[in-house]
Amino acid sequence: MGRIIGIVQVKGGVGRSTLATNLAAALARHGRTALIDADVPQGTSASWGKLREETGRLGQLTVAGVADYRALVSKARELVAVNDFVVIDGPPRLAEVTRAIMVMSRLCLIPLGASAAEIWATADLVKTIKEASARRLDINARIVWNRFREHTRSARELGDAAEKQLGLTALHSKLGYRVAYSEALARGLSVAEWPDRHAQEEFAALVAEIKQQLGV
Amino acid sequence: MAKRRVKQNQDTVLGDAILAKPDFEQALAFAESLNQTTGVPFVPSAEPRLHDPLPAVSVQSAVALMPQDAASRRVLEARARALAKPLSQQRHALHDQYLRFRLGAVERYGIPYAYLEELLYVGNLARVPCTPAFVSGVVNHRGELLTILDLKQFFRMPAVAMSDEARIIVVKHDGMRTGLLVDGVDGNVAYQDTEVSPPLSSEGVSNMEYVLGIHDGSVTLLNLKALLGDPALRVHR
Repeated sequence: MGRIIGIVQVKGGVGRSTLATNLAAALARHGRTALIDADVPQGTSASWGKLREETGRLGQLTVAGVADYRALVSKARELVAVNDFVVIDGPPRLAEVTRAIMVMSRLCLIPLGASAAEIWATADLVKTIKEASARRLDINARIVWNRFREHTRSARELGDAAEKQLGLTALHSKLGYRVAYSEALARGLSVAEWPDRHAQEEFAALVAEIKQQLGV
Repeated sequence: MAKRRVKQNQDTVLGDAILAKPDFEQALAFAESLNQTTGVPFVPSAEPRLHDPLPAVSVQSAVALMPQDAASRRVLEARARALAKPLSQQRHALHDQYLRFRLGAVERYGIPYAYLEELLYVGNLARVPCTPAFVSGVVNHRGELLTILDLKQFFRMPAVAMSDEARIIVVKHDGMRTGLLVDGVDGNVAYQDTEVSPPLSSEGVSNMEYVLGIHDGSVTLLNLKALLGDPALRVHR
């Protein structure tokens, strides 16, 4: 039985697909991996997968798109049986799909930029996590700081305050504000395949931390 | 640093519930419980019922005018769910095309393909005496007499001089073939009926009953059934 890693965020444009595609590509180096795009019809991850397939880079990776939560659960059930990792890219809404992802995932990643709007949007996710725990459903959620400007004091302070306010733990690895992510995504590549050493290193550290979280 | 180490250890020790994941049935149940607990808060039953007279208030908000009782809420909720489905799931969404044309210099109109027969160049248009102004005349169309309507006249739009781009759109409805004189044909547009917005009613618009809706914000889709069925068009009776 594989492990499901869900990527959820109710705000758009925070880097869900960036995280999902890069993580899927990285995990596919270690084992059979599936990437499910639950943000159809936008389908950034699915488009990335298509590009990757056309350039013959899929390797151990399978990419699928689903339109609703029932389709998502049945697809996840099918893929988790034959893969080591299943990465799910959620929609930018607090819809049924997002709730299903949160409960299914062994690890639920919440990409977050250090902006007030993104932190407010995450408060809704926190409400859902609390609601789930009231129903005795444990959600193992972690913030992944994205587009983080480590050297600015305001970003660090906002980051700490947000973690405290939201009551969520963040992963120690943070992703910086780099064009490498969007450039690689647009070409069906992962950041590991893009000539930006800083981006490669920070993402590799994130993947290592995620694998540690998953106990693999 | 010591603090961080402790945190990491806690992170790696996962609870049994997390290790047992994924539980798909739980995920489905939690997904489906969305509207029971979150989202728009339900108005408690103490609110006025659907048909009860509204309490006198100086300012009525749109919410106050909405039905408040449980049964109506259920109907509205079901409706909202149906509308909230992605477009691909809305099976009633018809994919269709219309022919886009111009009347005057700027006004753009469309006629659904179902009514179209063919397009003609404006040839020998013979005026017919004693007919209303909106009848431009008749043409010989493969041995048949085809009545040509001037939609600008019919819609009481200002007349403009006919240019080289003017065409006759031959439409057919109820066995009646009619030519529509237009100032230019722009081409085909694919559309879904979900993309057509209802026309905005405004004062001084005389052709509202002939309008199916507005596509793309600026193209008026004509309701040919209403237009050609208009008794005003039947001059010889």
